[in-house]
Amino acid sequence: MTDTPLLRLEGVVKSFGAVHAVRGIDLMVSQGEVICIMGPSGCGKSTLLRCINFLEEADKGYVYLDGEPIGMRNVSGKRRRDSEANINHMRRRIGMVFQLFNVWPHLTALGNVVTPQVTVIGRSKSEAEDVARDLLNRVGLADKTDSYPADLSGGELQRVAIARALAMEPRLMLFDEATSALDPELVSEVISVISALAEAGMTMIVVTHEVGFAMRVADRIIFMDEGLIVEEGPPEIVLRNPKSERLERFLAQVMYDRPRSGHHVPWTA
Amino acid sequence: MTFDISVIYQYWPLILKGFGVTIALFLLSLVWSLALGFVIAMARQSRIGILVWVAVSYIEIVRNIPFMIQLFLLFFVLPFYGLHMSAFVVGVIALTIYGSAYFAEIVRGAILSVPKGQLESARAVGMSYRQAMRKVIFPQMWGYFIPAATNQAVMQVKESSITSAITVTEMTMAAQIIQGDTFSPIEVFAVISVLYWLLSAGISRSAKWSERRLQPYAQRRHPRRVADPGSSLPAYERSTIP
Repeated sequence: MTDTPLLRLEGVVKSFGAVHAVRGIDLMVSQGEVICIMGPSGCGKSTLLRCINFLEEADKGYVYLDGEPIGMRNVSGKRRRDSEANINHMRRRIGMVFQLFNVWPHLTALGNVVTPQVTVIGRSKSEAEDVARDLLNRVGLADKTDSYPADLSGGELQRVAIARALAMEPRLMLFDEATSALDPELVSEVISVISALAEAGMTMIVVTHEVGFAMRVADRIIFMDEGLIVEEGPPEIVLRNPKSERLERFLAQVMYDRPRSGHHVPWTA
Repeated sequence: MTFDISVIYQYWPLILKGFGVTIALFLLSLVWSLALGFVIAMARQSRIGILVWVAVSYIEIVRNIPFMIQLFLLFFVLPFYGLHMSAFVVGVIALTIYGSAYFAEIVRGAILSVPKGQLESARAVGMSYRQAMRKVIFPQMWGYFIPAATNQAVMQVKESSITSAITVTEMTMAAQIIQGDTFSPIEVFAVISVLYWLLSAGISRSAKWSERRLQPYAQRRHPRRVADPGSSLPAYERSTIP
C-alpha cells in the first residue's frame, strides 16, 4: 500500500432535480484494490461511477486520481471547473466499461481499439494496431479483429470494450454492470476477463449484481442504498454477516438460495 | 385542346436554359445551405449561451416566415440599404438561408439520434467533444441524416420555382414566358413537371447511393436500421436489452 490513495472521493453529491442519486460519498481506493459496489437499482451506484470519470458532473465534492482533481478543482476553497484539456487528460487515465457495451458500430473490433489510441494518445497507426492486436488476443478475440460489432455476440462486444479501455493504459478501471445485459451463458467469458485483470493487479471499481464474482474477486465490498454507503468491508464479512437489515434483504433477493436468518432452506448445501 | 408538341420543339432552348438555371439555383443553394446548416447546428449544440441564442433565433425566424416573403425582403428591401444584387444571386441567397435553417435542425436531429452511450464511451476514453464528434458520432449519423435531408433537398428544388417571382429566369419563369407567347399551357407545364420530377427523382437516387457509401456497415449489417426510424438503438443493442 502506498501513502496516497490512487483514488479519493470527498463528499460527492449528485442530484437530478428532486432525485438525490448520490448523497455524500467519501471513498479511498488503494493501488491494486478491487472494489465491488452493490446495491438495489436506483441506489446511486452507477451515478457514483459516472461521477468518478466526470461523465456526470457532481453537484458537490471532489474526486482525485493520484492526487490530481478530476473535473472540479478546489481553488482556495472555491469549486471551479477544470479546463476541458485537463478533464480529457484525466479521463484517459480511467477506463470505463458500460452495461450496453457502447462499442462503435462503424468500426471493426480492431478499429474500436485503434482509434482512441491514435486520436487521444497520438500513437502511430501501426503501433496502435500492435497494441490492439495484443489486447484483443488477451481478451480471447484474436480471430475477431476484423469483425464488425454487428457480427459479434454481447460477450464479444463487451470484451472489445474492455480491450478498448485497456488500450489507453488506464490507472483505474470502472465497470458499470458490465454483465447485466448479457445472455446468461455469455456472462462467464466476460467475468473471466475481468477476474484475470484483477489478478494482474489492475485497480478496479466494479458495479455488479454477481455475488459469486464479487465474493471471489473483491478486496472490498461497498453496499449502497439511497445514495449512501450502508456497509463496507471485506466480502466474506459483508456478504456473509450483513449488519444492516437492508443488506440482508438485498442479499436474500439476489441470492435466492441463501438462507435468511432464522430460516432454513433445505436444498442448499 | 390538343397536345401540340411543336411548341416544345420551338421553345426547347428556353426550357433548357430554365432547367439549367433551376439546377444551378439548387446546387449552389444546396452546398451553401448544407454548410451553413451544419455550422448553425453546431452553434445550437454548443455550451455558449449567445451562440445557442443566435442559432435558435435564426432557425425560428427563417422557418416561420413564408419563403416568398423572405425572397421579397431580400430582393426589394436590401436595395434601399445600398445592396444591389442580381435576381439570381438573391435567389441563391434566399434559398440558402431557407434551406440552412431546416438542415440545421436535421443535422441536430441526426446527432441526437445516435445513442448517447456512443458519445459517452468516446468521452470516457479521453476524446474531446470535437474528436468524439468526428470519429464516433458523425460517421454514424448519416443513416438518420440522409432520409430527412433528401426531403429537404427535394423541397429546395421545388421552392426554387418561387424565385420566378423576382424575375429569375429559371424553369418556371421560362414556362410562363412560353405560355404567354403561345397560349399553350398544357404542353409547357407538362414538360416542366416532368423535368422537375426527373430532378427530384435524381436527388432521391443519389441520396440512396450516398447512404450506401457513407454507411456501408449499416446497409450490410442492419438492413432494417435505416428503414425502421422507430428504433433508436442499433439492432445489436436492441436485442440485448433485458
